Amino acid sequence: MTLPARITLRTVTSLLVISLLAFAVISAMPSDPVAIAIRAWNLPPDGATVAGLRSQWGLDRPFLERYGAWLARFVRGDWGLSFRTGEPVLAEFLQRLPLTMTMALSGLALAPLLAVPLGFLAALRPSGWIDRATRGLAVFVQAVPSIWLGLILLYVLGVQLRWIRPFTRDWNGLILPVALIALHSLAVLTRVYRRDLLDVTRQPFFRTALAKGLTRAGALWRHGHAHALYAMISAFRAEASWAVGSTAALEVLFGLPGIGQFLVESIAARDYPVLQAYVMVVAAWLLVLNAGVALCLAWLGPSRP
Amino acid sequence: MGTMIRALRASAVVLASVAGFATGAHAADPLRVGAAFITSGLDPAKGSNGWALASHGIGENLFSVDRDGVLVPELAASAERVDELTWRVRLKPGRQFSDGTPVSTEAVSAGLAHTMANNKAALATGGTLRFKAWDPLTIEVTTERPVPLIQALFAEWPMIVYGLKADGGAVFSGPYAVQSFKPDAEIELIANPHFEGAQKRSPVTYRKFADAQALTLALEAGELDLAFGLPAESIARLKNDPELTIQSFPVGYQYLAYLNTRTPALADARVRRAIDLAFDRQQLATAIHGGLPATGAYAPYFPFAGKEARPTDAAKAAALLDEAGWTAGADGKRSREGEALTLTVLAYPQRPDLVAMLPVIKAQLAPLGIAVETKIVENANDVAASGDYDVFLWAQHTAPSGDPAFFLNSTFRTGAGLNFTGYASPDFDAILDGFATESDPAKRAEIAARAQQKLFEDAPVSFLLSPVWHVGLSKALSGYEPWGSDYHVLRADIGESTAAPLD
Amino acid sequence: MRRTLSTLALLMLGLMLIGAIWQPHDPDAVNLSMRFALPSPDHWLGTDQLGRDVLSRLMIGGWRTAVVLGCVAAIGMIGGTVFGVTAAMLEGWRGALILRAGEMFIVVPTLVVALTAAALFGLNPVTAGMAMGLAGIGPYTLLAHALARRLLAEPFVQAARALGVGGCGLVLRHVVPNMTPVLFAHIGANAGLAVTAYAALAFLGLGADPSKPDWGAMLFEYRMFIFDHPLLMVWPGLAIAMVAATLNAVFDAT
Repeated sequence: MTLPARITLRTVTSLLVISLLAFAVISAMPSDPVAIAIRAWNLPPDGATVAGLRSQWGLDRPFLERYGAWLARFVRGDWGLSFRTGEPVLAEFLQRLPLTMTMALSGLALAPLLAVPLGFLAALRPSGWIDRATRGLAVFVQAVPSIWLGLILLYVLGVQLRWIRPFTRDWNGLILPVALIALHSLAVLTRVYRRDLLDVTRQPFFRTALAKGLTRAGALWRHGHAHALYAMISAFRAEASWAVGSTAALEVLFGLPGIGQFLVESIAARDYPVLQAYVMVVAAWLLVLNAGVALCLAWLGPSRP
Repeated sequence: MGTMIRALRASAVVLASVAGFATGAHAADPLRVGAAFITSGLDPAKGSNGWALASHGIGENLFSVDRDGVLVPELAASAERVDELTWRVRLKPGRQFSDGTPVSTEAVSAGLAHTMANNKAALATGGTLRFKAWDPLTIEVTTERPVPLIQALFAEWPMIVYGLKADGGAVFSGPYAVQSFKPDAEIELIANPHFEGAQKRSPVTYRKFADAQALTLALEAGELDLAFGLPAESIARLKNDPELTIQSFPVGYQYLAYLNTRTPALADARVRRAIDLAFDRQQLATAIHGGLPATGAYAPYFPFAGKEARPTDAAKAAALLDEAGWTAGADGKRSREGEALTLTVLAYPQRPDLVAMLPVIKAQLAPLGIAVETKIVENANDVAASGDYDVFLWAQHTAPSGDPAFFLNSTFRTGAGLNFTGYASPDFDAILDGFATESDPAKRAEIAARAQQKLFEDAPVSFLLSPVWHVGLSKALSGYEPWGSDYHVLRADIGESTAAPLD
Repeated sequence: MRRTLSTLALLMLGLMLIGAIWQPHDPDAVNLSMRFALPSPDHWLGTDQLGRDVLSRLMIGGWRTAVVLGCVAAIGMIGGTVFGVTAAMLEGWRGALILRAGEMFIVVPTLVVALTAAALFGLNPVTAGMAMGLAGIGPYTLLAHALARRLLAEPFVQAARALGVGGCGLVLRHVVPNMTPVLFAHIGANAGLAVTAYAALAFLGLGADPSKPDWGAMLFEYRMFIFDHPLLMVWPGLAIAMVAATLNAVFDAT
């Protein structure tokens, strides 16, 4: 089987398994969804409504049958109605996803672009100031909660200095959250790239290259870059995971009506249809990303020394 | 020469467009409003949209409550009772919906009937109402249950007035009309051309801020002209900002504590009275940076509110607990027949003041030997309805329609829909029955006073605070005066500084 | 350097554990006449908006964080070891399948798993820790698998096999004990993430009991005062940062 086909197969099976888990876990919820729906959507609480909802959701049928029905509906685009707003869940997601995606992807895209040059310079002169600065940044960023940093920057840059306009609807309002995501990923990816690059300098063929007359920079680039890039792209997966998780807090902090803020409110309201959809969307997004990274790595692979 | 003429012409064009731009910008700069809530949708019969749409200045009711808490006519002119179950409501002439169609008896009746059929909350006071056109400006309303004051019923938030359009949408009569709506995020409003004063009314961009701190920062960053519902902690700092005006106003919401009469510990009225006496309301007010100790069920600005703050008496509370058999052990903790007195106190995060009060309440009950476990639940209505609590901190607007009966009937009557405490007292119900036949507001106030006195004795609830809310205003809206709690955030008289356009 | 960090880590762990049984003041004691007090001999970190002693609240929060870390490490390590070793022992497609299953846990982000768990079971250190532990099984599986394979090829294991030692005994007596040092060394990477993830959960405020302070919840609570009394928010932020940083540094090479 070709690589793309294998990757696709793995992605699809993973997604199916996760959907089963998500459905199972959420079906185990303690409260009665019919009662919640009746209260949430202001429906008349009579026997007819209860019976109607139960049959519509197939609550009296065996687990696998329910799962199959849910999955079929989900794939068709019927993600159910939100308990909290009463609107179709798919519509709610489509409305909010673009903002969150823009934020996360912009931040994630910026990071590798800057990580490569920074990591390269850090490896070029180990213990030089760039190296120490990036190490400090990495420690700082992994330890200090983004929320804390975000608040300080928001107040200083947005309120006091008015250099940025944080709560506007256009790209202006996204500057800070994107910067925060980019900063975190940048710090981590830079260190990964640098570490791998330095590993190369310890290899014998590196000394050979230097002996052949290449400058340190030239040798690093020709022999190390592809290898370090490989490692960095691998680490990118974890960063993407982190970025998805952190959008929730960032959206609350910056008042952005994205999917993260919606999720927090949905959890507060025990809005299970939304939770199910969210798990699926996040899993799909990360699986697709993983698949993309896997393809990328495979393409880079043959050039590994 | 030719070049100079062309240059002059070009600069003339530029200057004219700049001037035009400036005037245009001046007249049509939208006002930016931020608040913690926004309507869930534009369907007035769904959920609590009716309340939100009126709050956004989009819709109106037949009758409404003014800034002094008095019931006044809005779209209706008057109402007279024909018999026990029939009223005639006369509409004000000449009013139109935002699409130009008249606010006629047919349109109003069709809209209200639609609400009756689709929203349970509309049935609370009078059951299902039926409407008939009596004459071109009068609607005859038949109620299912006798209603002594139909003005109050029509002032309730589900009874928002609207016309039904052919496509199933609704059209409203308020000062603002919807231009665009992004659910759960933002609504763009323009002046309703068929509402008086439209020329002087700027468009409004209304945004929801789920986070109170984000709302505060947006105001400070100059992004908002009106920030509704600022957290009390930020007020001191905001007051120092020369660009902003901060206004604080008392609201109809009351902070109270439901005491579950069905639990073994709280089934004894003495224990409940002891807890009521143990609360130090002044300390609670200090903890949330504002508000007054409650005088009873209603905010002090209502004519039927009590006059004396609820008392605090720790010694009497201790005596009551002793009398009820809860004796203090050597460690100070109370117990009866080997069981310690432990209470679960709940609050919900949608009202941050309640959450802030939880630790203080825990500390206030501790000296009495009562152990407290606190818990925050998001789905407050579900938990309260299930009765799975001992003490529940609650924020409730106790007179939304300007009348004391609604709250008492819906919350403390035996078996009532919102009776979370399990309070069942035939004597109390008998007092409430007086409301059904009395239409004189002064007499109704007397009934309310007697009912509250009974509540003080039986203590299924402890009234804690009459809170104060805060709004922040930029220079553009420095004339805004908040009133009506959050039922009327946007109104006809929003207090815009009317600077003349430059021409 | 490593010695200092290890000592620091142990010190903090000690403080966090002490928080379970003793604090300098009653963390719930409200004292409205002493709000926002600056650090003093009586209140080493000052008091908060209700006059409560910040240090006492931090220590209770520390204990709860320790519980989270414990659950995360335990579940991640045990689960990952089970998956990884089993996969290594079984040959062929069955081994590969188990390996994939363990890997699957990597896909859904830690925070999302924790959020879902909080939605279903409420937010408390044990459920959050278990949920995050589940999310951490993935990396441990891969590590355990790699280690187990290498160990299974070792001569002494082959010798044991030749002597007739069966599967289970082989695993328990020869393979696992040799793996544990390396496994333990990897706690650090996950632990830092778990601390900040749990703080984020508490920050998002999902049904937590306000009288059981978590560092993230304290961050959430105190951020309202960041511009008037900035010191308050520094303490829980610093606590999170220190624990996360030292865990990362002690167990991690870079």
